[in-house]
Amino acid sequence: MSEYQGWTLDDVGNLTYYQIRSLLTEISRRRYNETVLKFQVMRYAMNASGEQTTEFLAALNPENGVKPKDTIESAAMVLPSELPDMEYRGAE
Amino acid sequence: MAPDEMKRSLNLGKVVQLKGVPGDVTVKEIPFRSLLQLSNELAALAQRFTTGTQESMLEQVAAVIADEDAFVFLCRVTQACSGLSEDTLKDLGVGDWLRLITTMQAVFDWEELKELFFQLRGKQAQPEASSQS
Repeated sequence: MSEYQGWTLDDVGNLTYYQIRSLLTEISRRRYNETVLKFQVMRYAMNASGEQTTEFLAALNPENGVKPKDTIESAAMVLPSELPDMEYRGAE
Repeated sequence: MAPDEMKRSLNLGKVVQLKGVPGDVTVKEIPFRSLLQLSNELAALAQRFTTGTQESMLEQVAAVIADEDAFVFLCRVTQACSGLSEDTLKDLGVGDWLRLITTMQAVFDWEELKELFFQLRGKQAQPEASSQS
């Protein structure tokens, strides 16, 4: 069970970029479902700054081989309109 | 984890003493939310402040304080990283500003800001005051 379960977008917004990056790294290393938090970060960025989220994501994780635009579009289809906190309960 | 990394992970920041503020002031990294909102301000300030001698820094600080728009940017960024109120900041002397800005330069990862967040400038929504008018 992830100790990050229950985090909201506000929680993520109050972290520094370094903390978010560290968190993603840790989640990835522990094989938790990192995708949900990434999507939370993306959605937060989209709400806050719109189109430029694509550029932000490219910088956030340039080595993942996923095109940021495709990822955002996938996230938009997958995520419910409300915060996806509950999805953390399915993590390892 | 190295001590510096641990310190940064916990966002403990750096403490600075100012003549115009009683007690310690802690300068921390700006949270992600504020970072997105302040990319214009940070980018503008990064151009105004370059590392150099204390004398040249003092000149740069004095020039920013004298520039009304730049000073507004400086206050916004400083509020976000120090928690000091706008009224407190407006009363600070040049020496205190020099100490604050030097600390901010040490706390912020300017290369990271430049690489990731400065590219957002100019695309942000207008500041609240403008959007509400």
